[in-house]
Amino acid sequence: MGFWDTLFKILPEKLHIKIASDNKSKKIEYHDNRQVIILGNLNKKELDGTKNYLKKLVFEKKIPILEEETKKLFEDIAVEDRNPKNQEILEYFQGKLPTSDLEILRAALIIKSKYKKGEPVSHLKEDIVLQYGIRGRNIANLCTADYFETLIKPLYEETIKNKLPFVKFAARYEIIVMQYPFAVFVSSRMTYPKLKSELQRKIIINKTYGITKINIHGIGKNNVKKIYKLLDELRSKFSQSPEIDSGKNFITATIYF
Amino acid sequence: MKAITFEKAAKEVVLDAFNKGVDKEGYVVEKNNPKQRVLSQDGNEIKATEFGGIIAGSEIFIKSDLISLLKLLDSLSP
Repeated sequence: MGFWDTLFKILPEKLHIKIASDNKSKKIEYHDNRQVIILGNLNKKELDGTKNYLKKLVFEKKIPILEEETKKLFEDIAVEDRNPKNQEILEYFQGKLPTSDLEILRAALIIKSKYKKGEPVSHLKEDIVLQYGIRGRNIANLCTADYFETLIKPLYEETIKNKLPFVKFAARYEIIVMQYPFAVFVSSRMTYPKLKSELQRKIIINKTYGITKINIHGIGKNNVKKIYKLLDELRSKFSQSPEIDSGKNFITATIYF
Repeated sequence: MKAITFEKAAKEVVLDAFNKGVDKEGYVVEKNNPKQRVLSQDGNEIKATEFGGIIAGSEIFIKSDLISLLKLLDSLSP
């Protein structure tokens, strides 16, 4: 069968486009349950014809054409977005948080689900930061460390229980999101001296308000190392041994002072 | 999702198939009018590095980041 006969018989959703292959003569390869068109092995007529055929499939047959990692991410997002746990959190905060914060929270919950499966997420967090800036980064950090369920939700319920006005909750929520005095999130960009000064700054703020503990969160081997080094260096300043929950690639340390 | 797929390295060939090119600053442009930058589904110009594909039926250029894909999911939901 010739190139064109083979190409036209392939189901569009099984069609994958590649530039080169180890085999310098094969124009179509079967790989991973897909028919792979090797563009680098096509002559000019075949290449132009393939491009026209792709256009026809998209415009006339209405088949999307997606970069393979984008397709995978899109499918993951669709699954995680339907996750009942994530939906429950989003529904709970509907009407309680600003709309743009809910958008960030929705994206952050997807990151959290993927992180809990052990998948790399730093590039996804970066997507939030690029779109929503510091506020986006903070909400993503708070979400991945469960603070929306363990701190912000109880704060709202406490506000309602005590019949306090909603603005009280909104004001405290704003402080949590923009300052999170109760926690330090260590990123790969945060140098050790910056981490140390940030922790010391937050200890001072917390002491002013009679709060005697802070959680330090880190994801990734280097961040875990940085936090252990810090705990070691500041050990004499703590009132008791830190409580540590850690694994190879993450740590949450609660320090008391 | 049923879709034709392509590897990252084939981005420019795919763009070329749809008569699009990339300008000096890395933005996707119309090949027959290189001053005209292509807009993504959010109405913003799109860099080739951000290009994630084209949605069926019309020329909707999609970005590959998390936020854009969430918006895409909403737009495709019934």
